[in-house]
Parts: sequence; C-alpha cells; structure tokens
Amino acid sequence: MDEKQLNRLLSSAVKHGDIPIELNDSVVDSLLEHSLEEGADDTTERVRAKFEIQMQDAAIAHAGPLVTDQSLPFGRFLETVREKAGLTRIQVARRLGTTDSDLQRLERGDITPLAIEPRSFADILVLFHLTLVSAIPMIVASIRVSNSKRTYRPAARSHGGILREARSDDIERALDAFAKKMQKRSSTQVAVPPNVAAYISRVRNELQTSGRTDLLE
Amino acid sequence: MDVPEADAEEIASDVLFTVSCKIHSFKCGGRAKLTTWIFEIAKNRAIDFHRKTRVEEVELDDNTSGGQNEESFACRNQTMLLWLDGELKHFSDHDRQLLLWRAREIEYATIAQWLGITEGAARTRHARAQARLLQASRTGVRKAGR
Repeated sequence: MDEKQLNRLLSSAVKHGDIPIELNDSVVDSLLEHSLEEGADDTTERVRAKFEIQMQDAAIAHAGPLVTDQSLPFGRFLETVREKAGLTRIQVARRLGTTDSDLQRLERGDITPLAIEPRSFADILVLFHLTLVSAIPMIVASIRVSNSKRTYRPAARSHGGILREARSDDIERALDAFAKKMQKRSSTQVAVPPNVAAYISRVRNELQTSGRTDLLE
Repeated sequence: MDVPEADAEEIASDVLFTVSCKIHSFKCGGRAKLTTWIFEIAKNRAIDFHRKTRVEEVELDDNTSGGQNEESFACRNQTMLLWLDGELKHFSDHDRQLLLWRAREIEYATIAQWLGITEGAARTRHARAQARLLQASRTGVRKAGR
C-alpha cells in the first residue's frame, strides 16, 4: 500500500462511517466560523420548501389517525384532519396543486369527490395517508349528504331568507351533520352506487400507475 | 462530506426535520453544544447517504464485470478496514484525528486550530503518523487477513 492508497482507504472509511470521526465543540465552532460558505438564496429556499413539506407530512400523518369517524363526508374528513394538523387551506391546496377556494368547496361538500379527476383524488389519498378502502364510505357519505342538503337548502332559505354565500361555515357544518343524521335514520347499510364503484376503479388505476399500491387496501 | 448538491439539499431538509423531531432529547448544558449536536446529526445523515450509494455502486459493479475502482474495492475489503480500525487505536487522539481529517482534505491550518497546535507541528505530526501507518500496513494487512 502506498501513501495515495492509504489516504483513499482513510477517506473512504471516514466517508462511509467505518471509522468514526469526532466532532466536538471546537471543531464545529471552527467550521461555522471559517469553512462554511453561505448557501445561495435559491438553495436555501429549496431546502426550506422541502423541510416545510416534511413538516406538513408529519403533521398530517399524526392527525389522520385522530379522526376515526369514517361516516364523515369526505370533504369534512379532509377539513378535520387539516385543522388537527394545524395546516391552512392554502398550504394543503398548494400541495394538491389546486386553489384554496376549490379546496373549500370540496371540504364544504359544494362539490362531491366524484367531480374531482381520479388522478387528483389519488393525490389527496397520498397526501392524507388514506387508503382507498377507507375512503369509500366517506365518498358515499359525501354524495348522500350532498343530495340531502339539496332538499334542506331551499327550506332553510325560505325560513330565514339566507343565501348560501352568507351562511357561515358553522351553519354549513350543522347542515352537514343534520343531513348525515337523517341519512343514518333512513338507512343503516350503505351500498356503493355503481357510479361510485366505477370512480373507485379509476382511482385504483391511478394509484397503481403511480406505484402507490400500498394505499389500495 | 462529498455529497452532490441536489442530494445535499435533501439531506439538509432531513437534518432540519430530525432536529425538530428530536430537539426535546437535546440536553442544554450537557456534553455538547447545540451546534455540535446538529452537526453530529448532519454527519450521520451524510454517512447514511454514502452507505446507501455504496450499496448501489457495489450492485452496479457486480453486474458489470471489471471496471472496479480502487475506492470501492478498498471499501469492500473488510480485512483492510478491520486492520485500519485496529491500527488507529494505537495512535494518540491528536494523531488519529490528523490522519482522518487530512484524508478528508481539511487544511493543515484548520486542523491545527482545532487541535490547538501550530500549523508546522500539524504537518510534522501528520507526516510521522502517516509514515508509521504506511510502515504498519506493509505487514499488518497481511497478518490481519490470516
């Protein structure tokens, strides 16, 4: 072994952690003082963005299991998890490549999951660490609640004369809860309608294409 | 730590994430300063990266006969690493650090500052330590392989 080979062996051993190298306060202080170059602004920004995404993912992963009510409409489930994770609509919408107003419409049930492109729905499942199987009852609940609300809205309007735009989120939630309760009374066994089954099948294909088969079951 | 820029960004965000998750385990006024603790996490994360890429390199080498570079050969040679690890234990802390830091191409002046010695002393000590290690390698590796 010559000097060059010895240095390569030493360098490789340090690089791969085979020989531990000691970092103490004086070494680190010196590195901070002399050897580190200030990162470029765009580099810092990219690292900050990646870190933010990791923090958001961790918050959602933590909040998801806290929401156990599988009879929630899909949009309300997303809203509950998002709020428990401490994320804003803007943050989640950005992750999903949509606008916060579209996300709000989904959360409030103004649009049902079936109105979303299957690919975008698959993206939601990925972001919220939600399996397709566990999402099915929530999709069905969304559609049933949405249908019921269509009946109650004119009644609410005729009694109070309040337009939907003027109703607050709280009233909208109360209407959801009421519609959900009425649905529970009328039917205990929830069947999957054919249009939902067809939609689920398309979402399943999207998940398979993107290699997220772990979210199928 | 010889990490490509794109991967370095990934590692940097991982380090920040690990720090935010484990900050409660840091003991203020303990063995090391916060900056040292964070650097230790960064170092370990960089080592993880190199170990992972080393596995991929070996797999690639196995599929493509020949073309093995000396470094990957040396890395995989467990006998040499065992010998090196054992041999370095016979060196003083300062000499060992000199050999390791110099192998990572850290300037003599910087290492001298860390060790609290002059640059000239660092050069002399490194030359002696390296000569001793080279001398030991001529017989030691063969013995360790038996």
